[in-house]
Amino acid sequence: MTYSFQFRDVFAAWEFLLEGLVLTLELSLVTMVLGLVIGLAGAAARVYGAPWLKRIVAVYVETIRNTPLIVQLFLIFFGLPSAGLKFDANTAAMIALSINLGAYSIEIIRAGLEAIPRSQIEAGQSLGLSPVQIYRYVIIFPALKMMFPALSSQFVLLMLATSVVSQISAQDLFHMASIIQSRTFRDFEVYILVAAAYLILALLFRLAFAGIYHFVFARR
Amino acid sequence: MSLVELKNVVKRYGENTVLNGVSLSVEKGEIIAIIGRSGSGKSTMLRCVNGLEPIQGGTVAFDGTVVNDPATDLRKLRQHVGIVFQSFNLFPHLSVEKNITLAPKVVKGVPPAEARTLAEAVLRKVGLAEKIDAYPDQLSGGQQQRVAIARSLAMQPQLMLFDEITSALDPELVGEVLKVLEEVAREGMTMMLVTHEIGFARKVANRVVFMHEGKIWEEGPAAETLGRPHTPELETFLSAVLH
Repeated sequence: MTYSFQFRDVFAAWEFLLEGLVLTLELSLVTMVLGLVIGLAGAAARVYGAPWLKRIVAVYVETIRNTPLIVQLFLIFFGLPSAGLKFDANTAAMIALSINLGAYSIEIIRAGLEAIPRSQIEAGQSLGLSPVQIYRYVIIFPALKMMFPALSSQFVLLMLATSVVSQISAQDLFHMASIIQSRTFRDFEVYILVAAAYLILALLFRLAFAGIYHFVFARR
Repeated sequence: MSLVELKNVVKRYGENTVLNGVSLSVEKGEIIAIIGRSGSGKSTMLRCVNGLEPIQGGTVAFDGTVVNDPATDLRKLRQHVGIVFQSFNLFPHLSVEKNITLAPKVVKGVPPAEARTLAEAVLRKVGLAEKIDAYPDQLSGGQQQRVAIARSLAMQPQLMLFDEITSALDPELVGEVLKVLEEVAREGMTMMLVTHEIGFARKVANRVVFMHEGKIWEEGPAAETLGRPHTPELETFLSAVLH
């Protein structure tokens, strides 16, 4: 079996790949921010909220974690328009990914919150801090520090999972790869290149997270 | 009016009655030492005073405010009642300065520069001025506990509660913490302290309260009560801890 690689045509389409890469990056970053916000709020509700609130969050988390991302994506992009809610592909992708990452983040951050000793909360209460102040100043930092490795690896998984948005025609890296593939018929080359791009992206994210840990958390 | 007034306080954990009708009043400026075996309810009683423990019967009042009234703003009340815990409970991710200034800043709205000055002042009081930028894990247990006392003092409370604050310390570190405690006492602070340091109680406290089986078994002036116990339970307790 011999195959002679020819990257020339594929490289010629680099602008497509770059465009796709930019969208993948944008989707990942926006989703990570939104997912973290959902995670922080949801985990607080899940651990410290009223019983009814805890139950709502639990249902959200378990529903999302036990259904495929692509189904969630299709529900939002193809399903919701029937109910009069119509989004363009990029917005639908962002919503679906954030909802998805949010659920996983809640579960991870929750474990961090539950590991904070009760005595820390009592110390905050005894100083006259409000529940929100206790969460913000006493609990979040140590909890995030503890869960940072799990959280950052979930974020990297999310970045890789953004490739499913090509299925609703959002023009991410993977979608662009398919376009180039259909024009050049250089399947092997295209997907090698795309795999390399995801790999590099993932490594860069891990590096960035390690940096954040080092400069934000490791010092305290 | 007494600063602290407990009337017939009952506290249960399920079937287990921890406080069984405790009544006690503490006047402004008084120093009360609370002694007793573990499980006698002394820490629980202390924690009722600032509302950390909900109670099932009776009333707890601080400065005329009923602590166990659901309508009471506990946050406001706790600004006037400091508590120092056995396990220090410093915030591990905050520097000594931030541990001390957090509550003055976010609860009382003290400006940052003023808060720093306040931190310096209370740290000087506990003899740790040079540790202002350190982090809790860089301090010994005794130093951490002194910072915890400073953190409490920074809120300028009217009453301070000390919950076995030397029990988690290595023996050689107990002295430095008790010294700080004496210093705080000398400044006229009203104090309630749960302690196993009988010698210290005799020296510093005005009054000693001996708790047994969820009740105040015996109380009175420190020297007298510790010197001539009236009940066999206190006698047994004292002979056990003094030997």
